[in-house]
Amino acid sequence: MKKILLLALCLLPWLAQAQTEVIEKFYEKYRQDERFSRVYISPKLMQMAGGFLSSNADEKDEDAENLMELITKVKGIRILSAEKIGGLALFSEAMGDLKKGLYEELMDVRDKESSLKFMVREEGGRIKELLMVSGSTSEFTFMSMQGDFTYQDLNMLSENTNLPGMEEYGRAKKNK
Amino acid sequence: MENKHEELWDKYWKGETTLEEENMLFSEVEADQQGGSLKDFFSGIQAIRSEKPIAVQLPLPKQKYPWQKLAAVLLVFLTVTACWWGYKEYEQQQQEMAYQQVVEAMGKIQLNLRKGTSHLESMEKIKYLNSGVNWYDNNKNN
Repeated sequence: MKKILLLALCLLPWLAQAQTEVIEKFYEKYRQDERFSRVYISPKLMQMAGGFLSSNADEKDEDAENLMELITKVKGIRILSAEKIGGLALFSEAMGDLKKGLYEELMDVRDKESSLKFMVREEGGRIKELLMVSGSTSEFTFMSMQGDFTYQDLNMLSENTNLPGMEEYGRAKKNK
Repeated sequence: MENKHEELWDKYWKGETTLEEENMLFSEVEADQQGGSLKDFFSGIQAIRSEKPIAVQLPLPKQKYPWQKLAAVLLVFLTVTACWWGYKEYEQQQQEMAYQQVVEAMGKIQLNLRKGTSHLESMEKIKYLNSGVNWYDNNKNN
């Protein structure tokens, strides 16, 4: 029994690597497809974003503080998204590629026209990776946020925080 | 003797004679009644030798105003400041772009997390409805 446990422990990093490779493969598969847009926010960019927020936010802005705390915990974000595409098929494909062993399901929302799934990879009670896969009849998004954060941080993101600059960003995007 | 005399003259014209030798030659020319042009030459040299040097006060070059140096220093300072300011501006732009990307990504997560929680909120409403039904049932039974 001990040997099996030891073997499983030894294989865990390898399995995690294998999972990351699956995501990479999915990214690579659609690299040439012009309908997809790919974004990789590197740790350096996260650091720069944190620098911008800390130098521009008010000292007493709680939302900015919360977001800053989260930004410092996130190491990188990878996004693959596409519009005007059959997102439901891609959703199924992504789910098929992901082995469920390492990822724990956090949220699954489905209706007639869309599917959304949040999955997390935990290590020692802390979230090391948050996966978000969403597909609809016209859109598809595959996002991976890596770092070292907690469920409280996610809760803060979903409930309490009005992301500073989000409104301005939305307006700028509309004007484009 | 004659050869030695000529050698001395050769040495003199090459500028290799000592002061003593020169004085010897000068005395010879002085003593010679037909010294001619050589005699004049030597007396001219003697006259130059006897002249005392005059201290001449040459005008000093005018001190130029240091505006050129100042301008150069100012130019270097302005260039360095402009470069530093430009770099800061560029860095600020890069940071802003990075922040926008992060906010967009987080916004997507937030939006979708809220999608899920909004479903849960509907469940909460049903829960309240159930408690209302329970309350009604309890009252009815009482």
